[in-house]
Amino acid sequence: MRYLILLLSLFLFSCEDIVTLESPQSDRFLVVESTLTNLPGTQKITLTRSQDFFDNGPAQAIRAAEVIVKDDSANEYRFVESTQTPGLYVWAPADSTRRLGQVGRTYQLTVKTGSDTFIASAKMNPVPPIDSIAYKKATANPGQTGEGKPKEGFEARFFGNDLKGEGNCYRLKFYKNGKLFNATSDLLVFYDSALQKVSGTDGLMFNLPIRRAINPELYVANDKLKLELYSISLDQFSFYSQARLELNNAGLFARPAANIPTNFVNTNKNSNLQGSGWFGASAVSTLETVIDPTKARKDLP
Amino acid sequence: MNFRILSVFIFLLVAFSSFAQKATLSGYIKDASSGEGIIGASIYIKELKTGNVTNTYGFFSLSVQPGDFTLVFSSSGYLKEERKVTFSSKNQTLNIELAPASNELAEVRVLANALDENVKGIEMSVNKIDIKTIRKIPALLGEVDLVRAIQLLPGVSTVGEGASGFNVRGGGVDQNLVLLDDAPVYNSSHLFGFFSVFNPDAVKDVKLFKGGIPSQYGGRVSSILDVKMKEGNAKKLEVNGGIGVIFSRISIEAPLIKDKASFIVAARRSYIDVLAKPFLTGNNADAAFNFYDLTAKVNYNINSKNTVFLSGYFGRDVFGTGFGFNWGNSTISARWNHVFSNKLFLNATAFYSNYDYLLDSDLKNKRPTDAFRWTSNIENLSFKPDFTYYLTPDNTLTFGAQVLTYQFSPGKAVASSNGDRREFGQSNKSGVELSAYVGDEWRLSPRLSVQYGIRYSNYDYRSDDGVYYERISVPASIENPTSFTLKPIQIAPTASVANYGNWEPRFAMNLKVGENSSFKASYNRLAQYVHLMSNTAASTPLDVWTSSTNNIKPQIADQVALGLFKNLGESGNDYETSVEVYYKEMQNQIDYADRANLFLNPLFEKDLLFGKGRAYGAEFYVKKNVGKLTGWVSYTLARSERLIEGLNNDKWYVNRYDRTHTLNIVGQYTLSAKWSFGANFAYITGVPYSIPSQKYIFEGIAYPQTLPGTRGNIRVPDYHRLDFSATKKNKKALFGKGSSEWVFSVYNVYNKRNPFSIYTQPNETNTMKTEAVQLSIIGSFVPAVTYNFTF
Repeated sequence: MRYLILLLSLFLFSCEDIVTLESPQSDRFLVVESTLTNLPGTQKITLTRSQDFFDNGPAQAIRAAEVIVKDDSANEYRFVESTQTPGLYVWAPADSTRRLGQVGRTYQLTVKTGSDTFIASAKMNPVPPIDSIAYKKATANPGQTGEGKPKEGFEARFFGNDLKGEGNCYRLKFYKNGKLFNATSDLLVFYDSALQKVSGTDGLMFNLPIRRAINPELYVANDKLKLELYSISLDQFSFYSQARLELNNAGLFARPAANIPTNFVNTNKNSNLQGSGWFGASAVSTLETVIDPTKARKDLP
Repeated sequence: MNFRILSVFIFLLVAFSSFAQKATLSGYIKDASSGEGIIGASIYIKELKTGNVTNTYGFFSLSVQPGDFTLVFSSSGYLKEERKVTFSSKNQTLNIELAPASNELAEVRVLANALDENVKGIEMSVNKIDIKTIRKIPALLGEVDLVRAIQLLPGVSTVGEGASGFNVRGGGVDQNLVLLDDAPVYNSSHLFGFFSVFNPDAVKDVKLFKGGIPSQYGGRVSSILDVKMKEGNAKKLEVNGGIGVIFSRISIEAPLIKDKASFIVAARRSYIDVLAKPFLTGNNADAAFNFYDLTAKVNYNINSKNTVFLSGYFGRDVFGTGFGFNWGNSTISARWNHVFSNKLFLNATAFYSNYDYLLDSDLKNKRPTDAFRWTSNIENLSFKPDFTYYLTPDNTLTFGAQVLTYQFSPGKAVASSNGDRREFGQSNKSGVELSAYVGDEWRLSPRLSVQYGIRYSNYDYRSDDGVYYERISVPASIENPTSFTLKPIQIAPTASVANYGNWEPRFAMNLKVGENSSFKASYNRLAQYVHLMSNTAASTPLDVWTSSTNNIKPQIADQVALGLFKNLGESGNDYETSVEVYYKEMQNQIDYADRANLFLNPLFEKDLLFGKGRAYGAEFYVKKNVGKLTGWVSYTLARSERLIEGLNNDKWYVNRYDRTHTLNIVGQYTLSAKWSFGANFAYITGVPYSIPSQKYIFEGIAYPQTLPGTRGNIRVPDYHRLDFSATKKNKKALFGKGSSEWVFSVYNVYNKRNPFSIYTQPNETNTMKTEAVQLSIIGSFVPAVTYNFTF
């Protein structure tokens, strides 16, 4: 689709200009950002305040909040504000192999700040393994070209299977030489084995568009490619899907702007301060490989 | 119910036939050079100061007391013809051929007689636009385009350059009934919305009804765009064609049996893909990127009482390499014109229409084990007899009925992953729309004419697989923000799930209020049983047409329009002027919940929200008909809004196609027989848009926060544009025969970057920063050269 739009632009003289607009007036929100995992060691929760849409200054940190996570097995984890980074709250076990997250458990977050108490909860769903990564020689397509991006190299695919049962949702993060691909178009979430929430794709191998989505640019020999597959809840899938839509909502076929949902709710009904952002819990599978031209496959869908 | 209406018709027919015998003269008025029937040609009886006009087939009928009369036959662009006729008590037939005015200046002189139709005629809120005029309007990339031309008329707008379809008086793109030889065309656009599907070489007549819609039309609530195809030259072989920047056209018309039968075949194909080839590499080297259409028609004049027509349109847009999509319309219509008595005219039409698209991840079928293929279509089959009964020159009765079947296949997908194959999507639906109408146009006195009628439509919705869904309220959740869920209910397959009936009254009047001026008023109610599921700024070719169901109620619109029409100038009709105001209310309008999933979702009805719409406005129009400089100025002041339960805090908001001010100036200047020039200027208020109010940083990206109640919180800057064209006529065309012309055009002369939309996004290099981006679909001036020929 992107190529088609590119083609169209070529012949229809379209262009884009950055313009300056004023932000609409509105109330601010208290924002949570956190994904608890089943990995050993430190877990983080960030609390900030939202800002006017076109305000490009730093986000205001929420300081001195009381941040507690409880699970459904009566464990309680107290998060402490970092001394270096205001608004970042950390659970750092003395034993760095200790894990906070466990598949199947539900985590309840409580944040107290001033007269407001916010809550959110998240269940940690299981995650399948990433079976393998393969790659083939390729020439960069128009979407993969750009400053500093290789023109010749390798395109990678990863293989894995959706877990049985409809409605398993995942997020895939992919890194090149330790750097996360984090453009708005790299936000990759899927429902069962498809990018969209459609019934009928349960239990299959992740489909071709997912398998090949890890190539915003080509890889070259000796590049380290790392993948992290996160299990997410259906609600968090909705959150990310909507975010992805809103972040990439442009052009002839843009949809009306819609709100990105949140699971962070103020229990103080008299307060004007509302919650935003997401508190999630994910089990994580990881696989990494170093690109070796001799192992490149000849034929790869 | 429908049988009862039919029996009323039959009764009326019998009743009228038994009236006291008058002398009746009937016949056809045709073009002397091509043999094509002339639409709307006037027949005037000098002695009685009355007359009539020909119908869409060029047929007329006059019933008067026996006697000797002088008849004047005229039509704009033709030399008028006078005949002395003795009306005796027996029925007579008279076929007339009018010679086209030989050159443009002569044409201008003879025009004037037939130009008072806008004042005298009962029709209001109707625009007829001559294909000759359309040809003179400077066009994008030099391609003469019907839909882009009608967007220069008052009350017609679009969401932006490149958007499919058009909006009439604050209505949606799915609320226009686009008819090509009576068959509906579901997507009137090529290349999204840059070009329309109508080949100008095959189009004979274009008429747009924005209001005061007569009872013979129904099925859409905002407008009727009635496009009639040429019949084909019945006198001699004629070839027209053109070579342009985007596509080339050729049309061939010729008699099959001289003056009895003829045909036309017209074809176009784009060659962007051919031009683009050098720029494409690697994966895209074999990209298909084209559109084409084929229009064909034959007619056979069996005898003076019977003529048959068969016409068809087949068009397709193809995009893609391995992954790609294509879409297209096909229509076939067969018509039979029969003259029962000299007073009763029948046009019986049977048509088939299909719109389908395909989206395929693997067009060349290279990897069937990992593929995704999605198809969707809507199909119509219909039969409709339309009768015209010419009671007196002052009173014409129309009546008829229609059976229209719909087959909806809203979306079937086959997904394969590593060899596992799954099918999913929305189940098929079908519907039957039955309608019957009667209308009467009656000149009560030389000053007052009325047209009144009623249409009854009935729609029966059937779920093909025996399942339908009941909408049940549930608490809203993150995953389901609509607070509805659907409960499947089993019934017998193809049993009726919902049935709707609507009476649609129509009324129009014309009161002459002075020399060359009139006051007109109209009211109409229209019902619509199909809905286009579209939640994007411009409608996409992949949007799904769906049926009215037990959950989706038929759209109903009521419109009142008032207008003043006055012609001015030396001949009385040098200038046409009009002012119209309208108010329209629309029931059962659809909008979409946040996160609505309309594609391949069997439960999409859960994501729909319902409400009402209203639109109102004033349209000003001045047209200059004669002289070297002709053209028009149109200005529209309008508003279009909706109120949807569950959206925008339940407050009214403006539709995405709302345009406050629209000014169009269209001018054509004939310098000499060789050179002529065209120019048009447009100034249009920007469309409303929504931008988020807040942002927050999430995982290193600035996420937008859109608050409820902020729909349309900004407007895109105003749009303005000037186009220019020059046409040089050559005496000779190819091989020294016929004639030809060069058309040089510049679209967007002063290189304005007109915004289509404004959207917000994180900055590409620093995704924590936000910016607003203005998108211009056509951001520079576009020059073009086209060569047209005819022989």
